[in-house]
Amino acid sequence: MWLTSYILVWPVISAVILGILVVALWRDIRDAKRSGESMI
Amino acid sequence: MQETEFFKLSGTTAILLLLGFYGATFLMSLMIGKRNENVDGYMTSNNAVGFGLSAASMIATWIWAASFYASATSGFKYGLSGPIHYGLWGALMILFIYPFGKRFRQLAPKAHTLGEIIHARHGTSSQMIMAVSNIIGSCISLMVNFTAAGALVSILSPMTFTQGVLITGLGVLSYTFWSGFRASVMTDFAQLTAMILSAVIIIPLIFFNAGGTSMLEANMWRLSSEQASFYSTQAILEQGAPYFVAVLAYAIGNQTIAQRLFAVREDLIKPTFLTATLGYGAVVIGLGMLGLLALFVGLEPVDGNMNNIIPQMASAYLPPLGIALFFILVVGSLSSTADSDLSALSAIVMTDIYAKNMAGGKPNPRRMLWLGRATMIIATMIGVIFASLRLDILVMLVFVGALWGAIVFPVIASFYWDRVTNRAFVSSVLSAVALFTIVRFQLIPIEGAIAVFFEICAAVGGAVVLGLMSFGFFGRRTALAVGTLALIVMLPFFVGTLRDYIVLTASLTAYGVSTMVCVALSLRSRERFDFSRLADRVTSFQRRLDTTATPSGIQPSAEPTRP
Repeated sequence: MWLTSYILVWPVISAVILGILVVALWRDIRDAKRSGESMI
Repeated sequence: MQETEFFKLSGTTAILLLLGFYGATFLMSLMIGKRNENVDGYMTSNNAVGFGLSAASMIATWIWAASFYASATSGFKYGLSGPIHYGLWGALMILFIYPFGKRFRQLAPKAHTLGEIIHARHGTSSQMIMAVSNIIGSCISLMVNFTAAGALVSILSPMTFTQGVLITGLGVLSYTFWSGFRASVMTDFAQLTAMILSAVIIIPLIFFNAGGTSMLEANMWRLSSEQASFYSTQAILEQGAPYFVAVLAYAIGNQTIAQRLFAVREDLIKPTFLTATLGYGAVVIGLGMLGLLALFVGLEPVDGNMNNIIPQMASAYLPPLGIALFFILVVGSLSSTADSDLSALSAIVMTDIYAKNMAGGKPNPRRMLWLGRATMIIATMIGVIFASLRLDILVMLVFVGALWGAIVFPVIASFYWDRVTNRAFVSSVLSAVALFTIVRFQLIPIEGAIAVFFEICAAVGGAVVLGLMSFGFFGRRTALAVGTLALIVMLPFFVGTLRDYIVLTASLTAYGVSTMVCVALSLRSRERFDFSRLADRVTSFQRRLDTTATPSGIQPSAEPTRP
């Protein structure tokens, strides 16, 4: 069972990181709209 | 498992996937396109890119096509610890360079390339060492990524290798050409999203289709004792340690990482690098698990080629939709790295070659931009031609690796120690590369007293690596203590033994020799450098040009540089 967890934990971490990045991007877009400045 | 044939997408499906991928990225780049690009924006955006885009771009750039194949190969060869010995060390290097990155950024907030700061610190010869190593390194990276694209297309579709190389080269150039680094960062986010979503679906799908937990329990016998151990000495010595040393050099010397460092908002450097560390590690180790699963199911790589492991696993255990996802995963990874290489190459030519040398400090912004764009076209052509010819680049790769290993200590020391001189920098790098070459290619027999000499140099190199890592996080005293302790431990272990691991000996020799020469020559120097001068010497091109160029008729960009 631990070996199964060892193999499957990486996609879970990847998904969490993607979630964090998407939320951060959404905030950046919102802030850019408010300030009128380009994100990049 | 005896299934050896690759599943092939139809030609129409493969073309539609490629057109869809590059069409979508091209449309994204149009969203940020400006008629009059700003030269600083073209190279480092606005120096205030947010956390989400920066971290995603860092991960996407650090993951290239070879990451999957090499991680899976490591899992297949070394078993349980294999993917860790590839992915973890690669990830930790992102973390390792963060304190040094903060220092570079603090000293020269408006820099575009690392070579530019080295130019301000030392002068042209040191800068050219950085520039040349990066130009060769990025061209090789382009070639490797285009080769991976050609191989993928020829394996998974009826199209030929050359067609795959050409479509990828044109696709990457199309969306990077006009907006440069800004387009690279913007599209990296979408490419990383596609990559992670594909990985999140593909890894569990292959795991369960291959038999899941019961298959693991039933096939544990296929693993040797070394492969079944998390603490495999063989995995550490053959994969972990050499990779650790190589990737450290890559992290410090590579312009693609430096460019993102100069682009991210300064207060977001830490969370960006931390998240990139976790993200890179999770994706690459996760895909490395496919190699471990291949070992469990008893897969035999076609033609003995380890690069076939992942395509074979995908063909055997994924439905057609899964194969399409895998296709996008690999295309996304190689494209994000290739566009970063194009942006890096253009920044180096624009800044290090044109602005700092050819233009004598008075660059024309319009000419500078077009030079950057022309660089992208030429670099793509070189990458495509070399990939199509399938040239053997091993020797070139080895030299670039040596050059990057040799510059790690001089570069870092140059920004902390005011006694390091241009002569110390150049002499240390050249002597380290020379001695590296002797060991790596065994130009003289590495035995007897000669072998002992190189083993001592390598032990110093090992101590330098650990010392530098400690220095970044804990300061000089801890670094000296760790380095000294490491030298005392490694010296008796290395002498008489390390000569059997010639690649590791050569890599560590580069670190050790460059450090010893750099320290010795710097100690003899009476010069003292004032680091506060760097920020004055390295400034935005656009602001400088806006104030100096208008009277002579040169049109400044419509976009002002952020203060």
